[in-house]
Amino acid sequence: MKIRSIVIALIALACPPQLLAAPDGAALYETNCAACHQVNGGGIGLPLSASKLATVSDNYIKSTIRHGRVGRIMPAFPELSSAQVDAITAYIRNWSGVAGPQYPDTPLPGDRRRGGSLFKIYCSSCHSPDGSGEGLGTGVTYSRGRSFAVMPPAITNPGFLASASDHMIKRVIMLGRPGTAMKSFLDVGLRDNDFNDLVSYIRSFEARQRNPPPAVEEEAQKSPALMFDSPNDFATTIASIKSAIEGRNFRYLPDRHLEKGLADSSQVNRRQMTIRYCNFEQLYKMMRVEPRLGVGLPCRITVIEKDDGTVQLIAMNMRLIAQLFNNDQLLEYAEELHEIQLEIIDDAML
Amino acid sequence: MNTKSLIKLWMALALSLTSLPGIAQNILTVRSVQDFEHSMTSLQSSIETHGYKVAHVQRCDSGLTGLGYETDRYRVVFFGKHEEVRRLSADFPELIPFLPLKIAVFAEGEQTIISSINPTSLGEFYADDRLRIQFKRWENDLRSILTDMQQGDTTAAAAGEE
Repeated sequence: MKIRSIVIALIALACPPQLLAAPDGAALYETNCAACHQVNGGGIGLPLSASKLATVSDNYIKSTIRHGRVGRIMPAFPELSSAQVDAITAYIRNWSGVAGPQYPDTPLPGDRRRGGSLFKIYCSSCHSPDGSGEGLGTGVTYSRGRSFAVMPPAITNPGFLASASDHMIKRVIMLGRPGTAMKSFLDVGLRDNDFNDLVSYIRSFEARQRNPPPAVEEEAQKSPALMFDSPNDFATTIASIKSAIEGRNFRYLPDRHLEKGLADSSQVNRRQMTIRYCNFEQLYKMMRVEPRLGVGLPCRITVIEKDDGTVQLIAMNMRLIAQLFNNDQLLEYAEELHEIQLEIIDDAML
Repeated sequence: MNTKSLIKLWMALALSLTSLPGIAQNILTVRSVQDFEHSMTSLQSSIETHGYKVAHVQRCDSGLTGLGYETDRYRVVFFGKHEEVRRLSADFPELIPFLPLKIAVFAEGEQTIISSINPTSLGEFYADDRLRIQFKRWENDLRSILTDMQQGDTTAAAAGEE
């Protein structure tokens, strides 16, 4: 008895306090979800509206939290414990006070090929022919108009496919989602076997998602900074970069010494100059798909002269940094910008 | 079970629990119910309270609206510690693209979203242990600043501010 008490006491000492208390769903939601979904499920994230919650099961919500949406803004939360995910789910569910539907996990039999034909006719105009969604962005608007109040989900997304059961997908197609562009296809006249065929086709996207492209892993091995030795002196290198930028439709922002603003101007290292520039059309395009892009702005190349007289050009590796955002659309634009940045550096080093 | 076994059990349990992974967010983001202007003021105050100096504030929205693009208010706040920036840029020039530190602030209607790259997410690209420690320090400071932004909401509400 005494030993058991000691063991219990030691376990209690070893456990962080948050593991002993029941997880607080509201606090966890506030910490992990509210930045995008607001306190009530609105915001820049996909709206957690009552009509949406009425069609999804608790398992779907939990799996979505766990898996996120690969390549969209919604991250995965593998670090949260099962109890924490349960607590967040219960908190969200309590908004309506209505229990979510439950769906069987059993797969639905269907004709995938026929489902593909139906998909082209009834679904592709919103979900795009390849099922990847409307195109730009995710969730609701970020200070701009969009053609949909809610972006059609990327139903090819591995996070969605891992979370949604066949029966849930079928119900959404049958009854639609009130308040969104997703209408009831029962009302359109589709029948039970049509729904099963559509689900079978949507489920077939899963097989194409199993192996991620190797490029991402290769990129992850590279440095987040592009660094090159300049063949020219400090002043010539700066002038060459400006000349290279001028030919590429960018607008200059005033040059800044790297340390400017951090100390009196007399104490600032004048051999570290940052050349800053922006193409506002490109910026607008990128901010439409990722409003938090400012954390990497503006485009800039810093020229430094070391004590030994070596001059270097240093820029952010946009291609790699863009991967931090979990946003495939941003990656495409960042790739364009990355190529332009390399061209500028190439020209400047001639 | 003897005392020695109990101590071993306790140590194993303590080690396994204290090594639980933290929440690995690449982009740290919080929402403030304060409006944009209040949030900008609170943010700069919190940055300075944490021992940093605001180097400058970049207006992203003015360039966009000036060219006819629709956007809400958007700023990037650059900040750092002079000696730290000088030392790190000399020892690790590959860090220069991330110096000084920055936080993006943008309005979403009457609320404000505040974001920053999580410096620890850069750690996987840099092998040097000194940098890993530095990244963790920055992450702690950034998380604390962002928490201030959320707690500022409470303070403002308690003071009867809008």
